[in-house]
Amino acid sequence: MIVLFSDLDLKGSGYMNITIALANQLATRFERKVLILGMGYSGAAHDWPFQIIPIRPGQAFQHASAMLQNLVTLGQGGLNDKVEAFVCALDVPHQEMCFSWPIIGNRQVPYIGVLPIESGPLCDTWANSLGRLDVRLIISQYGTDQCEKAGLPATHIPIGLDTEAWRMPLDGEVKNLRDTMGIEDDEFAVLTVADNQERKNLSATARTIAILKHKHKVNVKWILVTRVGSKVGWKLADLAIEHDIVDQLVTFERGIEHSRLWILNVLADAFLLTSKAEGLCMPVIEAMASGTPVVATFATALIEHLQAPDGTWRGFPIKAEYVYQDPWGNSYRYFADPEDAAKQLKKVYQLTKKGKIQPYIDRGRAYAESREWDAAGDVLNAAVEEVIALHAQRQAALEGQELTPTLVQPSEDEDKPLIPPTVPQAVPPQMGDVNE
Amino acid sequence: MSRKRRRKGGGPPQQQRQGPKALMDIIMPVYGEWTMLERAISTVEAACLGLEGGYRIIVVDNGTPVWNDTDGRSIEPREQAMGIRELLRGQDAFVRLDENVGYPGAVNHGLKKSGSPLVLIWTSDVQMTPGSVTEMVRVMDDPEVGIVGAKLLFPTDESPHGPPGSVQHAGISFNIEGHPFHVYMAWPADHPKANIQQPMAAVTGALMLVRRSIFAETGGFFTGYGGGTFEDMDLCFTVTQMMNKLVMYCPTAWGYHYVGGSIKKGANPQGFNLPMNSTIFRGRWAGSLAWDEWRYW
Repeated sequence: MIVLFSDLDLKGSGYMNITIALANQLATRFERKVLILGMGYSGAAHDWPFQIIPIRPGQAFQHASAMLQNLVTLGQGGLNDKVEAFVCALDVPHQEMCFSWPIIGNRQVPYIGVLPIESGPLCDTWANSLGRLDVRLIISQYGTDQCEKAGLPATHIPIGLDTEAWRMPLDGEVKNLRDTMGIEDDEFAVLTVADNQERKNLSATARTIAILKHKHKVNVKWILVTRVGSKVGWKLADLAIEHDIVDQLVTFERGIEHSRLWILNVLADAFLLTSKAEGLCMPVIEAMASGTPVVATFATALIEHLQAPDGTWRGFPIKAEYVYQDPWGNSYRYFADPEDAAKQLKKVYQLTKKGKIQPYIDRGRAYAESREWDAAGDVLNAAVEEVIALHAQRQAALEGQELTPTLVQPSEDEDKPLIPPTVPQAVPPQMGDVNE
Repeated sequence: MSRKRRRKGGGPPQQQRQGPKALMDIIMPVYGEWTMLERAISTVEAACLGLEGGYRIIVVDNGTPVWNDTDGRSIEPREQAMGIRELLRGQDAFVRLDENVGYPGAVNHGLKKSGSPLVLIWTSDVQMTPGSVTEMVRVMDDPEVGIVGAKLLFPTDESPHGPPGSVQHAGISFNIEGHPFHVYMAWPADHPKANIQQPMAAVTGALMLVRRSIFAETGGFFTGYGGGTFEDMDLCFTVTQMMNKLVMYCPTAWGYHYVGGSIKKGANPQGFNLPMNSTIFRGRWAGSLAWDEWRYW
């Protein structure tokens, strides 16, 4: 049995989508018994082919620790399936909290971490912590590269997307949906999905909309899905008054159903994100899958969405105005330039008017379609097999059985330090020209 | 619906209404909720369809006081219960208690009037579907089973406590802190997981079939829980931990539970002291509490 532990808050947790899909892969394609310890899961009915045990917030880590310990004991006693591996899909600080669990510290069960690295460089403290994981699966290529730069082996797990649920609109569908939502034909609708307002740098998004309206004279409508009344978020009404965009702003509380979020995506003319850093950012891929042009900060994991490895643009990058070092693992934050963001939106607006936006939409859609869950499932299952073998070796060693000795070869690069110095990259990434 | 009218409508065969010696006694406590009880009783005959051995109903009026009607006229308990008495058959019984002794105490008074091998505790806010009780009795064919519970759903007509028609009770399990909870609450009634006949740590006392031999040993429900709550789990733990019998959940027996409907008239004006009863329960059974929700989710 594989035990997963993650945030299963049904109201907008990105981890929920990832964890459910990965559990589904293990259960259906690889026929493994799977049990999820779900933080925030309320016990609602489901038909997935695996178990989910609810864990209430508050004492989640103590309870999850006790549950894992009990599950391992039950498995050892033959009262339930043996726990073969523990998979934790959470941020770095939460992964670190799991290290304090006796069952993890004693290595009674192998540990796979599925996590984002939102920005680089990966500080040594975090690199050392993550070194305690048996396998690190990083949800972006960017994050994987940051681990490698810090001398930490890691594997990219290419998170997938259900491109049937996030489909392209049918002919006439967009107009119908816009009519239903009261969006005029001549309005340029911009969608922003921002659960964490601070990291998404929502004030920059508001400034961008204001510039688009006042400077570029675009008849814009800003559709914002966020924690509308967040105590630690912006006072949105005040922000709209300050920037004179009260008539432009339409807000939706986060956690709306995927089907409704899809509607907002397809009726929008552009998806705008001024994030300072992203570990993956599914809303960007969802927008691309829905055929909505994406305008986003050219930074961290957003880069791999916006630009193909061959340099072709799938979206419209926003230059970072300046860079700041954040207390979140000492990593960097890239502050999008609202002037450039408005310029990119204007470009989308003009390309749309001229009927030349389709190539971007097609490339975005093709990129989304390339992200299949099977690939992520393959990576996770390989990791599971790897740690099961590793654990068996450990157990054999503990039982004093003879092991095949592993010869440690001297490195050919002995002169090079084992852990390369993490060179701060306190400059925005270079993105080149964006001409089509 | 009166008994006479039900008979006119072509009710169940006469052998369902056998004499005083029955297979099962149905104990139905009530405190003023006469209409609710009438509805519950109206489902008894059909719920026992095909039951060999028959049944007796024992209504226990748990100290219902004198009510004043809207005109200010006093209505004595005897007068309030007239409709119920008309529903009862010759072999059934009506027990009047002068004061409210709580739910466990009321059931225990009913037990004194019973002598059948099986005892069905049936709260007035539960209405069962045809054949359900017969299904529960069938599960008792297994001598290892001591208690049987049914699948109870939130009503479809009024359901302030959960989605109409969804699961209210499908057995009781214990979380990692050792607290009990109803598994699959609010899940669709036809969800496969909620329709597995299986042993549980406990089932609700709202509808519970118990072997008489068990009550003979325990003397009934433990009355230390006052007005009620936790006495049902206490009995289940007695059965599983001390008598080595199973508490079985039987989903083919199902009905509707108008949660709280039996106490609307103020059967327990102080409210149920859940924290105290929880402490009493844990004090009595701490050594037997086990995290078992992993079996069900």
